[in-house]
Amino acid sequence: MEQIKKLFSAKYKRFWLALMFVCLIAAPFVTSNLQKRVMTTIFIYCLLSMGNMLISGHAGMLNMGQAAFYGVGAYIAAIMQLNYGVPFILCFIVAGLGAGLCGFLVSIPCLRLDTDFLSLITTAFSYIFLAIVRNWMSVTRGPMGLTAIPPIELFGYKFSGATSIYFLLLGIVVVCYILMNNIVNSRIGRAIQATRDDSIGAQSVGVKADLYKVLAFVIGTTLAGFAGALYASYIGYISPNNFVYDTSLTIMQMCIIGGLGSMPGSIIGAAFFVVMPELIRPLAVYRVGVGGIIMIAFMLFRPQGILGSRAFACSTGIQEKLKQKHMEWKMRKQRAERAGEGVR
Amino acid sequence: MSEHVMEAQNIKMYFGGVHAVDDISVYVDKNEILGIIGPNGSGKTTLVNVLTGIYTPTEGKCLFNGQDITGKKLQNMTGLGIARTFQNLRIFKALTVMDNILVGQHLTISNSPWDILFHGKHYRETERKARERAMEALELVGLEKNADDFAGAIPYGAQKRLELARALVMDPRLLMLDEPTAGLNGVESEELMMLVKEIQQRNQISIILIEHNMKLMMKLSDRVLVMDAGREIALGVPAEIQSNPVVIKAYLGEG
Ligand SMILES: Nc1ncnc2c1ncn2[C@@H]1O[C@H](COP(=O)(O)OP(=O)(O)OP(=O)(O)O)[C@@H](O)[C@H]1O
Ligand SMILES: [Mg+2]
Repeated sequence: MEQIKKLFSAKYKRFWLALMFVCLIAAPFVTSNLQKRVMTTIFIYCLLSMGNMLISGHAGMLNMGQAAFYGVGAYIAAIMQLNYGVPFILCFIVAGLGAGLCGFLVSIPCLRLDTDFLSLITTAFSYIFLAIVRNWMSVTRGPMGLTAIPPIELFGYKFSGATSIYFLLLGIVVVCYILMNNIVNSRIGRAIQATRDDSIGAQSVGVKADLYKVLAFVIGTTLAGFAGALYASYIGYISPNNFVYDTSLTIMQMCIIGGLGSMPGSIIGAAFFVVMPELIRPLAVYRVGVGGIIMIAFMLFRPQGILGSRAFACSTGIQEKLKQKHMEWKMRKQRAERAGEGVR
Repeated sequence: MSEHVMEAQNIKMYFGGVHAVDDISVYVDKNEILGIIGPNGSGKTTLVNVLTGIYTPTEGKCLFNGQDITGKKLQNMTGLGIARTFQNLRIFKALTVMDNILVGQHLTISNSPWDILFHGKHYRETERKARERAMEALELVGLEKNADDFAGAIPYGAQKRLELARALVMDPRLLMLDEPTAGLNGVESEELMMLVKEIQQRNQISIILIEHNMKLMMKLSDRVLVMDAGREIALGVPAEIQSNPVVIKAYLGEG
C-alpha cells in the first residue's frame, strides 16, 4: 500500500502526466468511433465541470444552473451560425461572453444572499431558460430544437471527422485546464477561496469579497458558454432536452465526486460520469439508481470526493469514524488488559 | 490639536433595543497600545467592529489620521493601514498556512490579468517574494514548520498565531487584536503578548487590544479603557485604572 502511494507522489507527477498525454494522443488511433465520441463528450463535460468547480468548489457557491449557461452558449452559437452565417470562431467567443453575461446578471442578486439561496436562484434561472427556449418558437423552434448546425470550421479547416474533433477538443480542454489552474494558484484564486472559507476574514485583509464571487461566477459560466458552442457544432443538433436541470445535477455530481476545490478532480469527475453509464448499460432498467447509490456511498466513505481535500469537507466519512471508533476501542481494551495484569 | 491615529467620537451602536456601545469616545496615538477591558457582553468587540467598518455606527464618527472613515467598508480598511484579528478566529481553514499568509498580502501582490493567466516571469518573481515574506511572518510566530499544513488542521493556539501573522504581514499602521490569547495557556499567552509588544516597538505601530488577562493588560497597555454595558466607566493609564474605585467595584473586585 505504501509503495502504491509512493508511486503517485509528487516525485512521479511528471512521469504520470507524460504517460497520460501519450495515451490521450495515441487513443484516437486505436479506438473505435464510438469510443472517440465518448471521449469527446468527456472533453465537453470537462469544460462544464471545470467552470462549475471554480464556482462551487473554489468559490463555494452552489451553482445548480450550469446546464442553462451551457444552453445559452449553445443557442447563441447555433442561432448566429444558422441565421446569420457568422464564422464559428466568432460564435464561439460570443457564446462564451453571452453565458458569462448571464452569469454576471445571476450572480448580482446572490451577493446579498447565502449560498443556499444561490442554489435556488440558479435553479430558477435554469427553468426560466428552459421556458424561453421551449416557447420562443420563431427563434429557437421550441421543443423541435435547432438542426443542421454546420460542423466546426476554423481557418478554412473543417472539423468533421471524429478524430479531428477529438484533437480540437483535447487541445481546448488542455488550454482551459492550464489557464484555470493558473487562476486558482494565483492572487485571484486565493482570494476566491479565502472568500469561500470566511468572507469577513477575507475582507479584513482587503479582499473585495463581492468582486471575487462575481468574478468566479463569470469565469465559470463563460466556460459553460464555450462548451455549449462546441457541443452545438459537434453534434449539429440541439434541443431544450440537452440543457435540462438533470444535466446541471450531473455536472454538480461530477464536481462533488471529483472533489470540490480540486481542478484535476473536475476532470476525473467528468470522465467518471460520462463513462459510468456506458459501462453499466447491461444493467438495463436497474441502472437508473446506480448514480444515486454511488453518490451516497461517496458521501459516506469519502465526502471530500476523489481528489478533494479533507480540510474542505470538514466532517469525515463514516469509514474514518469507524476507524476512529475501532482505535478507541482497541486502546480501551489494551488499557483494560494492562490494568488487569497490574491486579494480577 | 495634534492628529490621533484613530479617534472614535461619541460612538453609539444600537441593535434594536440593545445598546451594545453607548457613547464611547476614545483615541489611540502613534506608537501606543490602548487596552480595552470589560465584562462579557460589555461591547468591546462591537466597538472594534464599528472601528473596522463591519458595522456602521448608529451615531458618532470614526477618524483615522484625521480622515473621516465612518461607514467605510471593512475591505477598504486594509488599504488605509488598519489590520485586525477576530475573537472567533476567521482564518481560511481549507487553505494551507502559507496560502493564508499569501492572502494577507492580497493588496501588495500586483499581477496583471496576463500574469495570472499565463504565470509569466513577473508573476513568478512577485510570487517568490510574497512567499519569502510569508515565511518571515511565519517564522516570527513560530509556524514555519506548519507552512504546508491546512490551517483548519493545526491546533487552536497555532491558528491564533496564524491569524496574527496574517494581520502582521499587511504591515499595518494600526492593529486591532480582539482577545488574541483567548484559549491559550498562561505561557503561550505571555509569549504571544511579548511578541506583539516587540513588533509594536520595532514597527512603531499603534495597537488596540482587547484582553481579559488583567496582569498582561496592565503590563502592556499605555492606556486602558474600561467598558461596562456599552458605556465607558474609566479611561486612563494602568496605575489609575487599578486604583479606580468604580473599576475595582465593577470589574477587578470580582477577581
Ligand atoms: N449583530 C448583533 N446583533 C444584535 N446584538 C448584538 C450584535 N452584536 C453584538 N450584540 C450584542 O451587543 C452586546 C455586546 O457584545 P460584544 O460582543 O461587543 O461584547 P464583548 O464585550 O466583546 O464580550 P466578550 O467579552 O464576550 O467578547 C451583547 O449583548 C451582544 O449580544
Ligand atoms: Mg468580544
